[in-house]
Amino acid sequence: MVPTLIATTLLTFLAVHVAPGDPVSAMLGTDGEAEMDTEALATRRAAIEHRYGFDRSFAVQYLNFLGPFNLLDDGHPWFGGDGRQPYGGLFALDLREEIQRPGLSIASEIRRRLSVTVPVALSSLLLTLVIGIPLGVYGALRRGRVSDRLVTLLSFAIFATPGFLGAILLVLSFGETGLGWLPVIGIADVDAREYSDKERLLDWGRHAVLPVIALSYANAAYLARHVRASMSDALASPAVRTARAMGLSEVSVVGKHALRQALLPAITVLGGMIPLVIGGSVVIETVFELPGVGRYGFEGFLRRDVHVILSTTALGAILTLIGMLVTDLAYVAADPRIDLRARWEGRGG
Amino acid sequence: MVEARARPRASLVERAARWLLLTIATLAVFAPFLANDEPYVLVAVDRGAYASSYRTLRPITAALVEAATTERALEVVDEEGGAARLRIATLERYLVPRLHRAGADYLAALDELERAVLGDEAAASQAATRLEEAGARLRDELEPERVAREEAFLAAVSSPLLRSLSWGEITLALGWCGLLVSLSRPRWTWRRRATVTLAGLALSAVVALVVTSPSLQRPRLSSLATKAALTEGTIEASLALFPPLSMGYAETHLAESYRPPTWLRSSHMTEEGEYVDLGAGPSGREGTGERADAGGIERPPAVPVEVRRGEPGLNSGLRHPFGTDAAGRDVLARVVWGGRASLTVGFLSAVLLTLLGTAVGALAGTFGGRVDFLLSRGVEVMIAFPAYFLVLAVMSLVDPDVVPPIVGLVVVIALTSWTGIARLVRAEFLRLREADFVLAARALGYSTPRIVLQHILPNAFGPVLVAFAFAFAGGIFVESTISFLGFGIDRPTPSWGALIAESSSPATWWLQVFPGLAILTTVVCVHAVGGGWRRAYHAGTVARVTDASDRASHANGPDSLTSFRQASRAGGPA
Repeated sequence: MVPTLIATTLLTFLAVHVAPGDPVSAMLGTDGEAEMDTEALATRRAAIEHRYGFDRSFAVQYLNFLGPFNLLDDGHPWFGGDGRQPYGGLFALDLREEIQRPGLSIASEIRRRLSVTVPVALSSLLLTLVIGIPLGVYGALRRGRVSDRLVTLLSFAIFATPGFLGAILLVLSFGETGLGWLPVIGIADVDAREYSDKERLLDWGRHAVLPVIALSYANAAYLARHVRASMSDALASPAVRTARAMGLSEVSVVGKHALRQALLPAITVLGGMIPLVIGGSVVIETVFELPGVGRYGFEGFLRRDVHVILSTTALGAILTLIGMLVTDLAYVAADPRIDLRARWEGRGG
Repeated sequence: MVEARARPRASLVERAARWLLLTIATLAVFAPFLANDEPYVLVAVDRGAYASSYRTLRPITAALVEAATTERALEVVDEEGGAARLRIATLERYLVPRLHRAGADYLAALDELERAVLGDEAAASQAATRLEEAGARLRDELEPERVAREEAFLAAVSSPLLRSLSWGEITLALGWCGLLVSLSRPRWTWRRRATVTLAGLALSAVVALVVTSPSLQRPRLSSLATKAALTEGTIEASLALFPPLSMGYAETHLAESYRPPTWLRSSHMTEEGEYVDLGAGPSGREGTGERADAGGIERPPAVPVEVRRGEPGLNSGLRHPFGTDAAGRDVLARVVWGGRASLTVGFLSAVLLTLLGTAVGALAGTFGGRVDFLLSRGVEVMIAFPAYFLVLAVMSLVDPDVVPPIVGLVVVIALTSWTGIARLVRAEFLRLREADFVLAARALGYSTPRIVLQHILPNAFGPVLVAFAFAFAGGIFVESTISFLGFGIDRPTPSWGALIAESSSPATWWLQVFPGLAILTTVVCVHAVGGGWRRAYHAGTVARVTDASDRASHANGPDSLTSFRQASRAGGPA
């Protein structure tokens, strides 16, 4: 897992570096100040580049980003710094400060925003399961009938709707100018601080409904298609035939024996959805203006703030890796045939 | 050797999807012919161009005469002589033949002057006098009002639409015709279709080069767009044939900003620009005559609406079937044009990522061992990546002046979503590597590249094609999302995603719903077609086996099934 993390951050770092475009000139705003004294500009530019380490070699910059040692002028004495701030970087759990708004710690900002993103993402995965699995099982049980075809066709169309489009359609139909049922901006009311705990939870729920649906519908449709296929296979398997032959009730056959078989592939599918949910949060949080990590990344992209871009992208990768680890563990828990130790070593992680 | 397959008949849905997709692509390719504010054919007298040519000929003649005996004569005659010829050509274009005499005399005098400036001064001054005389006669005879009195104007046939097209546009349109022809021949093999299409494309490139060559183009003198000139009366047309959507993609009608689709009652307007049906929908406050504040959108006060020639009537349902945007541009025209960007990015990124994924998968599958291990780890890293973050990170840093967004998007999308195809191709290679025909090829002593390129790769083509279709859909998905977020394509033509982002107000729902429907329809169709190909491939591999030696290779393991599903997800995040 750590090698994957390092590879992912390296990739991000590389992409940001290779991308033609200059964060420093974006920061200086040179476009608007063409008449400014070029020499003074060059000095200011060099000062900024030096301060954030843009004038160092790629390797030093990357290691500095990774941490845990701060390699810049105020960094660890081992690396020639004055020791004012010896540690920093990803492994020191310190993501530096924003370039555009100096003094604002990215780590604390992200911590604050994770409290918005994580509940929404988890609710979205839960909703995906709650909708996708029953729908898939229903389709498998009614395979070939009109209702099954209808569900398949519908899930197909839903699956093909881009997330932002679905989100906008939800806003149009349930927002103020549509039915007016639900709020479409933010995650809490302006005066939510004065609410009691119960009211605050309800308020969160009302605000989260549409973003969670927007984040889940495509995954639910996809999962349903998948469960339908694996459930059909399971229903045709010898184990299920044996269970039926032994006179078990239909509920027990479907609910216990077939479902268990069918859900194993579903776990893999769910694991594959985690990057999609996290990536999708950029879009959904932008449409619904949720103050989450995705929105923070989006703001960083808008301001071309390299530190914010790197941090949020790395965070996205970390969350994805954690999600995948959890999926692996769930797989082990669900499938008694898998030996945890053998699988763990086999992955080399 | 390629595995033989039976081709099952495509289902109704699949055939419908194919037709729809082809229609959408054709609409996008022919956008300049469908949604354009210039007419196909114009039979007209361009009074404005005539008058300005007539007016500007006088100073040109004066300059020529004055310079004839000076040292700069050669230079001036070269420069101004060309300008004078241009003006004469424009004048003669709109004149009945009997009045061409004056122009011919002028040109003869000009020729003489050109010869004379090379010789001695006396000849030059003589020629200059003659030119001055010819110029005076021409001014007298071809005076616009006099010509109009004598009814000596002649309408010239032209095609403003065709001449506004670039070389690339014409090549694309003609080449696409070749593709359509080759697709309409059911008996042709795919190889023949590809050959015909490519040959047609090459031919159309040549034709387009000829058509757009400067020597065939008459320069324009009137700066007004044809439609505006027709309405103003500087062009007098006896025939003007406009495209079915007479609105160009960049054509603004400020008086009609944020107008709802015109087939709705709420969009009906008076000629003064006030909505008839006040109260309902995004109309204005009653009585004030102001069209303001409809759910957060600011409309300018009512301005009289001008219906130009070639446009549907003010309250005709066809005027703006998809409504208009903030600048009063027709949304339908923009959707038709916007499809080009979206489909181009989708297609090119799919091509690029298919090549990339196939290369990586083939390397891993052929060599196995350490190469396979390294490449597989690389694929795992890419899969763990939330692609949107990477795409957005790169697109936000790329300067659109250095790298056009369309190129940036194609490359970035391809680089972030090739993993699905790589896994798929690797699995296919591992399966085919064990096939009997590969063993036979190896026994014959063929080289590894030959076995890979000639025997294994063609057999992996089916699943790769299926994955390509899904990658195409995924490319459209990602492009529209990135453009929606504002980091993609928004100029000069917007893509569908950027169109949706133009307004966030639910009051202007048509700005979001119609481009959205375009994306949805395209993606659904691509999925349906890809699904059909997948079924055809699976049915084929299981059903008919003609070569007994292949039989072992037809067992489709569960591995290849799951990789299909993953491929269908590749590049298509929610």
